[in-house]
Amino acid sequence: MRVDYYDILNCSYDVYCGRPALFAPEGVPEDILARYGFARLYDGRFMYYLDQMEYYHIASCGSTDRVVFDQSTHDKIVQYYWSQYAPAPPVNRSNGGTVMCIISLILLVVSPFLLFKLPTLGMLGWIASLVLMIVVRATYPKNVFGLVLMILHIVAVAVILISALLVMAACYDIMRQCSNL
Amino acid sequence: MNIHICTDHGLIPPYAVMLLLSLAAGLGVQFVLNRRDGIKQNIAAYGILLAPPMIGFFALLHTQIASGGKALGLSSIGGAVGMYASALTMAAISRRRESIGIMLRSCTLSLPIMYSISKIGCLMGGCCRGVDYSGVMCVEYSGERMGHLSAFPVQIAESAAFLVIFIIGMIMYARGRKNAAVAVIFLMSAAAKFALDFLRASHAGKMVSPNQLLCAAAVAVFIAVMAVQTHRKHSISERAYN
Repeated sequence: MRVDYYDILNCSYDVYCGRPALFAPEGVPEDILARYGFARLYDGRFMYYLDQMEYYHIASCGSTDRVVFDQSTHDKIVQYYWSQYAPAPPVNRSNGGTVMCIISLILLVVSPFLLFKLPTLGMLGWIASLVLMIVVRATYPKNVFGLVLMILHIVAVAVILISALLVMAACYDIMRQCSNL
Repeated sequence: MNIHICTDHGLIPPYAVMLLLSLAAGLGVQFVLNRRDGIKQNIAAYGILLAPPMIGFFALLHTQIASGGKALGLSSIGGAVGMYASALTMAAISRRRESIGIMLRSCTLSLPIMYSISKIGCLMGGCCRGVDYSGVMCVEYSGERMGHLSAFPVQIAESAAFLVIFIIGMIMYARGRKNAAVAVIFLMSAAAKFALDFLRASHAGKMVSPNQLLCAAAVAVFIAVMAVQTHRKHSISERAYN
């Protein structure tokens, strides 16, 4: 089989050391051979190992006695293999997690009321709501519901911390006033 | 030279301020260590959001359980459990196997500085005080709530001991001996807590306090985990050699 490999015409196709390869004809200037990746063997011939896509192209040509590699062939090969082995399109990460957001919001709203009756359950509910929100934010970063929930949680944490400080101060003040009576 | 502390304070209680400061320091150290060890920024940041509620929950829960539901207060051992629970939760959310080790390590390395700062709050608030003592360097409390009493400065001793443990751990971490730093911090912290608990007023009349039992249990679990890990590594290397 004869192969025209870009500017190097009439290359011969053979297997060398178990891998498909092209052998340049004699008389081709060495700078052109070097440009296309041909290397000199011990016997003086110039050889180029075909890559997987180039080999499949030659194999697909079947029994034709002449195979041409040029820019259009290269584009076709790349297009074909890109369509075969292209990575999957990115997952739209804005749609998922809405159910988790709804559960998280319900827990966030319900847990303060539970705190008065069942404090342990109320706190666990709040923590579960927080964990669900974090799962949504980590898995679906573009989910707007998750973002709103995160802001609500940050505000809730800040309000609880400030409230705890104020309650402690108020209790202390009341105790001091009572002791003065 | 004695230390005089009046537990009467203005509207802002120093105990709460020191607790918040300790939370900020501990979570800050944890965030920095997590980031240095390759945890994604959002996961490390969400960990900061999750940790305070978990610390509060477990700190309150431990006091409730230890007192049989009679007392309400914050326990340092419960807070540590909360820190570990939050680290494990964040590691599970990140879905990376190596995150578990990194997050537990950052958590262990940051705990001593939290404890060290929070003990200064205890000293100023008059809680977790030491046994009655009126010798050199004793703490003389005054004020409406505490009355007048002299106590051993156990909070200062705890704060200093845990600060030293933190510095030792950070030096080892900076020199690249990360896993050794975790072991040293964990074992030294448990030993310091166990030993200094004898000097607390709450320990009077007891052979061993519940806190000391928990420390001993934590050390036993830690040694068991390390032994299993070492055995597993050894068997893997033996298989690879054969």
